[in-house]
Amino acid sequence: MAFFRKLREKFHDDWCSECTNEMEIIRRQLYAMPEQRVGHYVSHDEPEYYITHLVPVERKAEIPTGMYACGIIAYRCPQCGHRAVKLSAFLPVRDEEKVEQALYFEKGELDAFLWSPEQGREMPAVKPPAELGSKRAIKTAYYN
Amino acid sequence: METMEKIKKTNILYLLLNIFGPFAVMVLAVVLGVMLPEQVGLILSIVGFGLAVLWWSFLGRKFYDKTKARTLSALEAEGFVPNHTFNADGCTVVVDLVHGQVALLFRWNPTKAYVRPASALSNVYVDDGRGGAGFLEGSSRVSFLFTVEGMKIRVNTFTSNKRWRMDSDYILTGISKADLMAETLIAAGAQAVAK
Repeated sequence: MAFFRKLREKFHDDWCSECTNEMEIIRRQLYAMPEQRVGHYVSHDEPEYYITHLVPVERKAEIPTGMYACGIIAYRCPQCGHRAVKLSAFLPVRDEEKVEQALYFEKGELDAFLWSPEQGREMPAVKPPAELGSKRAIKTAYYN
Repeated sequence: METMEKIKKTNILYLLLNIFGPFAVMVLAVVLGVMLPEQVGLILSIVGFGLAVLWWSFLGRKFYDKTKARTLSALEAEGFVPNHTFNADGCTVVVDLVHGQVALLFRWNPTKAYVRPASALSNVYVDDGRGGAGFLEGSSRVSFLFTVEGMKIRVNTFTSNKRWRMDSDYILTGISKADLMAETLIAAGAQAVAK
């Protein structure tokens, strides 16, 4: 399974795991990971870690040298409505990126974080998907 | 806190003791082994030989690490703030951003820490070791370099006995570490000038 997941990460990270249709990107955001430094990277699989430690940035140039970054892409399948979030932690080095890990969250683990009002202030143009509905109510509990 | 002593990368006596000290112990053990009764002599020879091999393989390095740690603690006790420490194979660079100072410790002279204002460092740059052309392009060494008191010091952040592609994880990590240290040294230099 890990092999197939790696293949998917490499070539088709935008395929819906439910209907294999190509998903559309509904949100893309770059974050800095101030706690993770070059030579001292510790991998984390749990979404709570990212919810509490990510700091949104506009451009890669804003991330200090030697600090890890994290790119989040939120997908939505136009056919079945399935949503997924791809999170990839990487070290920006000049024009290159050294990817440490890529994670998929398909059960809405990061929804409250991604569509919180704090995130909204950072990205005013971003609108949450309508089907999220009341999930947005728990957003303020995160990201302080 | 600042030291005025001239920077010496190698303490010749320490280097020679490291190379020939264990050899002398080994020879002494063998000589004693020949002179002493059979079984005791054999055991003594094996112990002497074993100690020499252990020293060359890892005890020497352990001794260096302990001495370095002691030297750094002594520095800290004098008020040096180690904000960034980079341990390379031949040299350790410690940057104090509070006082704008840099401490240098060398592999073959571990009992001395040379503390200088960071503004004394010049020509700080990163060498990614890029070589070769086309698909052979790559590097086997990444380092940051600086000049202090006319002496060029190279600190390796990555070395290998083979050439790696420039986009390999090893090279990228090495470049990132070297970039970070070069930026830190330049920032400490600016801090020292501002004081």
